Amino acid sequence: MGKVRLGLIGLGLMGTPHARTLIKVPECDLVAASDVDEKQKAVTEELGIKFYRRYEEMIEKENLQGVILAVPNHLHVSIGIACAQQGLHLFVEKPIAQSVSEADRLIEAAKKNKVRILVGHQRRFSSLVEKAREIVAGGELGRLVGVTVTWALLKPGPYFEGPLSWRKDKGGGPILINLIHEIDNLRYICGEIDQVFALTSNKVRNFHVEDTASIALRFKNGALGTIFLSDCAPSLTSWEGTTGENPLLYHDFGNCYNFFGTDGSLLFPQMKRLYYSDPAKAGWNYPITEQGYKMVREDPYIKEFSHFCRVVSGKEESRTSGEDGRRTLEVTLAIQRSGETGQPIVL
Amino acid sequence: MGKVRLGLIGMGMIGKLHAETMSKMKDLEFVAASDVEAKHQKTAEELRTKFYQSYEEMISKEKLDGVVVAVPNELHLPVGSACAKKGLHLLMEKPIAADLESADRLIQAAKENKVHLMVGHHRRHNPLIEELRNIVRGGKIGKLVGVTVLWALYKPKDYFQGPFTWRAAIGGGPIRINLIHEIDNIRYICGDVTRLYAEVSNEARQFPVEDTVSISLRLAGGAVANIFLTDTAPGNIGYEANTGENLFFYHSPETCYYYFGTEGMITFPQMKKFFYRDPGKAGWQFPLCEEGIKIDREDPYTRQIRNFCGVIQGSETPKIDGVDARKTLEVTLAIQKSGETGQPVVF
Repeated sequence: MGKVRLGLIGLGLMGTPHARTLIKVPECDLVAASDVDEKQKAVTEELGIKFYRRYEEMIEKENLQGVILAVPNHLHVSIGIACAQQGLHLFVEKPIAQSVSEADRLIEAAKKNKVRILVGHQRRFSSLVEKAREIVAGGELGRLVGVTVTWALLKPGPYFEGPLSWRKDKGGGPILINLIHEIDNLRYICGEIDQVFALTSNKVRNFHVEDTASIALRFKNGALGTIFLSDCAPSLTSWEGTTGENPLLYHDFGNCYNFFGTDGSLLFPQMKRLYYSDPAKAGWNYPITEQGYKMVREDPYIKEFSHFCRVVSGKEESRTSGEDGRRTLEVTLAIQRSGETGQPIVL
Repeated sequence: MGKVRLGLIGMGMIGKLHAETMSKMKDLEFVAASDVEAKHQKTAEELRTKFYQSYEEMISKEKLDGVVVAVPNELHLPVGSACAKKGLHLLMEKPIAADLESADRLIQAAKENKVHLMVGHHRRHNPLIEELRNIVRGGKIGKLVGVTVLWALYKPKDYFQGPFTWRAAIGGGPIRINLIHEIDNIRYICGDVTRLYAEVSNEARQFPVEDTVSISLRLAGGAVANIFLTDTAPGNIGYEANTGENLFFYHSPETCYYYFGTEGMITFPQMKKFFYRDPGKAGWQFPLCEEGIKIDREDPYTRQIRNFCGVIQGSETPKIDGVDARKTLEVTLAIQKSGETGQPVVF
């Protein structure tokens, strides 16, 4: 079996860089891309792939095996179902849908048409996250007791202006746009989240949408979590500000996550593991041993698209299935609801 | 008025620290110390102060201005009231009392007998904490957005053994013993807590008492805060480990608090300020400036006793009086309650 024939739907902010990445992936044959905006044809010409204005025409004519959906969130489900009905495997950008019931419709359609879904939570392909998962799930920290996440940064003024003013309204804020990544990371590294509570605030920007949140979590395995989230605080203590995985944003070398277990803790992304090497000298009054891990940085998007090709050809199970993407959405929406009601939510 | 004449009641771990501190201070007279256990006579002799096994005998025989009370929590009220009736000013170890009703009665006893009641939340006397308060309250990081507090240290096995098995029982755990300090710091630096929610777990140690807590708080003024606390994870982040205030604890140069404001972030105890210098270049794609804040270190226990002497002489007000300390206890107990009921607590 040769390369996997793929099409891309949507050449916007996410779709265009995806197209540029996809042509670099050896297993992938990006045949065509579509966008309702004729202007995006230029990108396809540059990359030497076909352009369609109508994705329906593309999926009918091109004999594709899978599609990458990089369309606005509210179109994920309708376009996803149309593609599934053509027997195309689906790569859906995050969030899988705008609501849990919509996600269910898409998952159902995929099942009925025997196609697989990979949801685009690309951080699962970060070598840092893969390593953290290996350490935590592999029991190197013992029993997990807790995790802390800090995501504090300042979104610049123009982020909210002009055509982007929807970011000031409900649903356009850091919970649905940014926190969903943190939730997916936590679920992937630490396990299922089954209880959430959030205090949210919009007191700084005074937009409709929240600018800051303090969140308490409980995991199914008994571990507790805490998340501090703010997009109005000058800081580098965030995934973006510490991992350097978004080349457009400035980063330094702090930690955004700490994982705590009965046998040790892990500071992330510095990837420092702390533990007591002598059980007879274990305690707050003794020196603690620090271990580093050698990390190889790889482009998570290239890894993610290679994986999608192998999912399409049946060689690998989807790392982020529809159900998985649905659960990440469900937890994130529950956090938002808890912020509104002031009550904890059991999932 | 001549030198202030002080007595000490209780010569356990913290009492001994007070004894050593007072014996080194030239501007006061450390007249006598008492403990029910005769073995502490040796310490008293070494520190050249008189020793009593009965504190009642000490306070009736010695002409004292004030006493430092460092007895078990449930004795704070009876011992404190007896001293107040003798007209002695009180420096009561934290927590002010074992419960809110006892705290009220102690406050009342001090009032009736016209003595000052100061409570031993010694961290308020740490110059680092004072400076942090000045920064936050002085608007030097703009409007406060949020705070994260991390306390993850490993209490050694012997911490819970022998005479200390009460530490494994309800009430002897990190909420009442350790977290109360964090609550007092937040209240001192930021102001009152208006709402909180806590997840509490004892699953790692399986003792009746909690070992891990995740808390979300809302503060007067609108900022939110997170606290994550565990005493069962080998780690090196926590006030004791990071400030080096008490050399019993192994020192690590990590950050235990982040204070986020609209115009900058402070890391504690590094006391570094991060901010954008040019408002035209403020946002996640730009580098942050870093600035150190110079602070002269001074032993908080010494400063605390000095404040107590000043209060007795009428030249100073207590950094924390009974009413203020009662509020810290109230918030701390509410965390325990929220953990038990699974419901937020509103003040």
